Amino acid sequence: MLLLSTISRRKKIKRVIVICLSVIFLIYILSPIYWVIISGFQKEAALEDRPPHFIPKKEIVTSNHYHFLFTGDIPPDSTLMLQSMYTMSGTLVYPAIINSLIIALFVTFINFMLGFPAGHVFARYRFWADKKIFLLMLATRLLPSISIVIPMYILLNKAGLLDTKFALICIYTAITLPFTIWILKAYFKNIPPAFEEAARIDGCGYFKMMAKVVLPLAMPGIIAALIFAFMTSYGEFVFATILTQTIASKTQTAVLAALAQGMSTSRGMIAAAATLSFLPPLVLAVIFRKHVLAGVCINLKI
Amino acid sequence: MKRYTKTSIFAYSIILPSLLFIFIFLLFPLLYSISISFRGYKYGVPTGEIVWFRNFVDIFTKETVAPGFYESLLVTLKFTVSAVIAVVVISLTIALLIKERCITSTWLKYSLLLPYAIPGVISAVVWNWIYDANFGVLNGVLFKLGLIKDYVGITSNPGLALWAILFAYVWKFVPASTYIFSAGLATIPDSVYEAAQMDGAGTFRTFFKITIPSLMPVLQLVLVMQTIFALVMHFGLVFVLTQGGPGSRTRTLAWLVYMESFTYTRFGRGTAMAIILALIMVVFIYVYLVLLNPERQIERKGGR
Repeated sequence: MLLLSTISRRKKIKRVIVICLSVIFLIYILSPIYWVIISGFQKEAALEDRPPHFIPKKEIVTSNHYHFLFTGDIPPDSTLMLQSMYTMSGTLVYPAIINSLIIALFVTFINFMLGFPAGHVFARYRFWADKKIFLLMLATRLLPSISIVIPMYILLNKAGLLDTKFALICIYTAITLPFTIWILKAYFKNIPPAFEEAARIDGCGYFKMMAKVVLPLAMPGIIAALIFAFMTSYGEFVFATILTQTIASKTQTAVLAALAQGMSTSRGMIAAAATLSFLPPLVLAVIFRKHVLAGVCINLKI
Repeated sequence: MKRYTKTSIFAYSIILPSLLFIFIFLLFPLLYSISISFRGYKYGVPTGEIVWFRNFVDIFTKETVAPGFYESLLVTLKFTVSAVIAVVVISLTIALLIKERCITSTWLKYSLLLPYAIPGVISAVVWNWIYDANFGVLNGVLFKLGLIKDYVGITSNPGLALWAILFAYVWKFVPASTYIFSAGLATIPDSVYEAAQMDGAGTFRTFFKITIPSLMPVLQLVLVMQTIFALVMHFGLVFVLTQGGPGSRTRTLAWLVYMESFTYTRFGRGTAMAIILALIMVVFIYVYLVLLNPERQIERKGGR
């Protein structure tokens, strides 16, 4: 009886430690996001208070920053000093997010069209140099973007393709495809080939088999891979900032990074812009959370 | 043999478009960078002179021509080692906390999705606002707690800048490895833990005698993978938070490459540095993909 009570006491202490640690980590994980969202809805003057308003009161809440980002209208009630803080680069945020979305959607689509059959081939067939090609592909992908971007800049400059969405789409496709193929290959390995063989015996052609049999079976893996491709290309920064110059191709990462450098830019506007920027991948990740979680370790085989 | 050839032709016809993308936009630029590194550049324009390995030799031997290379190597080493240790320790801790199945477990598991999904450089913008020397919330919290008398510059402080970057970096990179550790922990059967408890092993003994050894393959993978990430993925954070400063305190190799190439437009030497950086990474990539081979884990387990 005494032994049991010590065990249960130890368990209680352990539980308290676990919960305390968990809360500390939760604060670390969530507070930056809470803070940036809250800041985007506060009046510029309130953001300059010391100490800051950890929980904003009603009178300092405003949607002016968002209004400015979408329309370019400087809040009418702000002072002259404040007006100068709404720099024109703020109006680039919305079109830049659209640019990012267009680029990421194209990349995701190409990833599906090319990566899905390629992953299937790598999983199902043994062919000349298959393992070497696969390894080379992954290794190339893991090399630093900063090493690729300099020759890329010089090459694109020669080809007249600097500052185009087309160039970014192609580069992002190249950097996302290896992982898409890797994830899908791992996923196909877990699906028994019997279904495909049965379909082939029933006289199904290759394309019909891929569309009618393989595609539905592999859907969770495909979603995981495509979300990863979308998030990578939406959030890529090194290529985006060096290979773009104007809003014709500037993505949200490049615009936001430049905006954050401005010493006297409205902080509320930057916070609102950051919130808008991370909203698309965040919403996707929350909706497809199961797929995202599975996708992270799909190719690790653990 | 003929069958094999037929399969090869079929397989290559399917993967050819993907290979073309990867070849044209990744492999070719990489090979082309070797040619750039052999050239001399002045004001961003090639001088037309082929200098062969002089760019490389300069980087290693002439402190006056290529200043700060060794210093930046040291900064990179410092950052990479601390980042890898921090990410591994924190993500393993969180994975263990998730495994405890408390009320907080589900919260932890899903809240990690947020930093995972937020683009790296946007997280840098977020942290830049938190670190802000005049209105930042971190200063606000420390001020309110009475730990500081006046607001201080965090990213402009020579002693703090690198750690500020590290703190933000860890925030972004903990989720992925936590999920991997979680998956690894899930493969350890509960019966093993129950047996240990029966034998009277405490929490720490269980951790070092059961959890760590069972997790070894996963741990190795995460360590190497995180090293590959930490060597370059801090670029966005450095760009937004410190621009390599103050002084050269956060001038990592990746940032030095960027500076040489795009601030000073010395493409030849910048590319040479990029090649050195890539060669350092090739070592880790080799260990990761060939020696540890993520896909072979299951076979190794099966053979045990």
